[in-house]
Amino acid sequence: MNLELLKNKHVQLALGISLGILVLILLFSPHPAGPASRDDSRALPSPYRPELQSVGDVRRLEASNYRRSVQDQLPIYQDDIQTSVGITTTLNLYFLGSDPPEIVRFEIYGVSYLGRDNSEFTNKNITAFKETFTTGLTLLQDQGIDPTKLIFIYGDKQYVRDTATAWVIKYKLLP
Amino acid sequence: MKLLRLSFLFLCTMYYVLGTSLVYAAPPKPFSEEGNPTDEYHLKSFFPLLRFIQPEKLIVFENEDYSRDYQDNCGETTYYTGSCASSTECLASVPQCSGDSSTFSGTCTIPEGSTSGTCSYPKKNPTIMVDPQSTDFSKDSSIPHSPDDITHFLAFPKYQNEALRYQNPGGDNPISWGAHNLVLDNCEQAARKLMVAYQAAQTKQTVKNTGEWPLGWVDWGYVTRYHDKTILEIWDRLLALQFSDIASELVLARSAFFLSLGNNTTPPLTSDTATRRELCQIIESSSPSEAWRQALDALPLYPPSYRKDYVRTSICVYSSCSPSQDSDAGQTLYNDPSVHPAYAAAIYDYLQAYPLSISLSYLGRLAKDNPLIRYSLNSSSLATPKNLTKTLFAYKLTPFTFANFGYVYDYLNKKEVNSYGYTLQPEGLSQEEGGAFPNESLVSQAINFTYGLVDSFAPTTNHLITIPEPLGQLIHLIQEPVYESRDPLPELEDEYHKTLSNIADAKSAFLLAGKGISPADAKRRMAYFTCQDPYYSSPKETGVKDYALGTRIGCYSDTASSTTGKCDPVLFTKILESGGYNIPAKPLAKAEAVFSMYQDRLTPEQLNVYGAASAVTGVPCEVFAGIHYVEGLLDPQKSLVSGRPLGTPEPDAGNQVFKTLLDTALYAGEHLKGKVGGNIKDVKTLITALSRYNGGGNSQCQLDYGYPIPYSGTCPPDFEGEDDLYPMSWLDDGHSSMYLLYCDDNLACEPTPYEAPGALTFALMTHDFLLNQEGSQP
Repeated sequence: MNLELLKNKHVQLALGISLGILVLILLFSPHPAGPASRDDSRALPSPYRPELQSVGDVRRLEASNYRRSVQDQLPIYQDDIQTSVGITTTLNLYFLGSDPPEIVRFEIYGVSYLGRDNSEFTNKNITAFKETFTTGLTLLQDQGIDPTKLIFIYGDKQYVRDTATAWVIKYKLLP
Repeated sequence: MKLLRLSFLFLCTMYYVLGTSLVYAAPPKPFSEEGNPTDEYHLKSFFPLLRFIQPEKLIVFENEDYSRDYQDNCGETTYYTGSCASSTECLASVPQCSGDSSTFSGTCTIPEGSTSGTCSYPKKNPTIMVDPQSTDFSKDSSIPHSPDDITHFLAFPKYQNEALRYQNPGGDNPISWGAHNLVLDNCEQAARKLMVAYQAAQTKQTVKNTGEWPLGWVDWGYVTRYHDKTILEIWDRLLALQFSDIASELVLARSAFFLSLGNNTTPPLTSDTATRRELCQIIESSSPSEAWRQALDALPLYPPSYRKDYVRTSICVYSSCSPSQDSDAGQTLYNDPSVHPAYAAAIYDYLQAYPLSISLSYLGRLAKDNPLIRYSLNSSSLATPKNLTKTLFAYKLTPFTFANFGYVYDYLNKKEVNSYGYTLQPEGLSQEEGGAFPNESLVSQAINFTYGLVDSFAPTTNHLITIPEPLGQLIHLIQEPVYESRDPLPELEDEYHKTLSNIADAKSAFLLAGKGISPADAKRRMAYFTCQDPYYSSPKETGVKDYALGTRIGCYSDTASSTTGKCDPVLFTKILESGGYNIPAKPLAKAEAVFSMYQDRLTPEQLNVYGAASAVTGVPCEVFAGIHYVEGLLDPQKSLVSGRPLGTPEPDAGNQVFKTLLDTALYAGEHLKGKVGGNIKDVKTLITALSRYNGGGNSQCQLDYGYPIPYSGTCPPDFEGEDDLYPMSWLDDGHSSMYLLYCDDNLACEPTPYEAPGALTFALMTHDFLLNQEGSQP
């Protein structure tokens, strides 16, 4: 490189501007995460969860940010929950690396989601679900987590998700 | 002086014309020149439409040189540089990585009055070193005959004949070519062919009226086998009078379907409408010897057109790559004569394979990322680039601020960028339209200067990148849920691993995907292989955003350790020793009889996949075998999630699509652990996890079940899952008779005996199998 060029005022000006811009690029560009964070989603395809289709972009973004802020307090796992109808349940609040960043799994085991009986008076599973769900909300709040800021899914199987969602809505379980 | 200037201008013009690769060439027969747009039109009108695809969803294929990364002494071209008396002496040799070598000729230029001269060679950039070689598909078997024969176990339809799957009407070999067309009755075939003819005429009309080509244009000059008549000639002379109304209605119905994607419209071709009934009546009552019937038969089932994809080099400085901005750096197009019919057929296949609600949901999601899908088969003026741009161009350039500075370079996750702001576009389109700074701006010049400085010090490499045209952007997303287009690893490794390099860089000699090289669309298919497929130096599917982020660079290193693994029985042994449930030394005899039928499927390759998933997730290898048996009978093309074919949306996984068995195993392992708080500490926990993995619906001790359950065990169960057939069936006497309870979700039926071992039972037998294998090794 010809060092005489550096004495030229235009070159000096261009270099100055260039270096300034380079600094700005470093400062303002939201650089990609390092290799460790890439590993989290490496092998799994981008998920398209049907539950998220009807959720607006803003809500999803907020839920994603909020989950990130509380992720250290998860998972919450509690088994042997004795419900008033004699059904023992397990509560599992967590998310997996392959899950969309917006969601938290709110899974309750030990109840049957298969029956068509939607009356709480005859279907003990509904009562067990309700009580366990309330316990879950309490545990979240005890951890300082606001459940209204999260988006929950209730299982992997379609029938589990459908039934649980229907119960949550019907009995207004979410605050 | 004027003459000098004119000469200079002339030379510059000639340099440009000769230097650029965008010299239009007429498509070969049966395609026509008049029925397809020029290269220039592709560049100026069609490729800018790619901006309407969300950048992270824009498919870009990158080729990286396997041979240069991993092998020595091959691929470097050597030129004869001594004196020459004729061009035959000017030879360049390219040693192939396989050990052979290829040559190409240069030109010997001899000065006047001299008897010898010097050689010059064609300079092309980018280029390719080794031609791809085909796989021998004559060895076809859907079931391996023996463990040694596993390499013959091919995915079907085969990789190679995929290109012909939709195009060949089934002439000389209807079993392997076009076999799927045999399911179409005469009426269905007539409907599809009529639509092709109608759209050919419609395309011509659109071009005539607007001067523009619609996105779903059909080559009206395509020559058919009916007395070498073109599609348009057949339509005009033999079909239009009788079928104009019917064809118009069919095409309109399809257009309406895709524009609305199901909002109050019936799916095309599959619905029983008055129009279709009328067409069927005509076809059934006509004689096959009539001229119009013969002409109709000769029409292609799916619309032909001569499409082009976009190719250029990408320059990488260290790990940061971006498309070259230099027009001399190898911009070109490649021909893809099969994508249009394949795309149309794939859409029909998809709609026939899935329930309407699932299809609409899936297509709707695709349309959200790529709105061009709504217009992809449309040949009316509605789908011309100008109208599409008006319809879809919601994005307005944001004036420069420091806040929006970074994305111009990085294509990062700014809202504006996600709404069509990337600059990866061909020459001929203003950069401003792509969201870049104007070239003449001070900022732009300063940035270029800075990067120029970086380039002068840092090592740079060139890659070839290919950007499929709009239909090519979508086709694999539509095809893969219907059928698997890939070969298994052993087959590809055997044929490709050492011989194929489709890498381009400045030293290569021929451009694989360049003009006139057929079948260029094979390249489109090669690019299906993902980073998880260690077949060869895979052309890596990536996105614009990935370019900016450089994330694809780590593709090999990220996966290298996880794509293979030993199936080690130690983990399962530890779980067995941890107790929690009294596991028998051996499961029931009938379980062992079943295992002996399937153990041949536990091939080393398959066990390696389980082993790799085990290494990543910590779940014992044998458990993956157990889940895979229950879900998919150990079929390597079926997933561990639900037993569906790989590449199919998985409802239980939020409709994710898994491309490899390993992907599904990783998902299974991760979920299995998640169901029990992350730690499978003993047999009891494993049983519970497996039961929850399956949803727990087949637990035998269900309260108030509508039918008596003659379960051989005791209720209530000792713990959750202990009464579930999914893990426990045929494990011991207490689980010798277990019953499927639900015919469908939420539909309780009379219990049906479940005649197979459960996942834990199968895992236990796999464990013994592995221990015996270890014991038999020296």
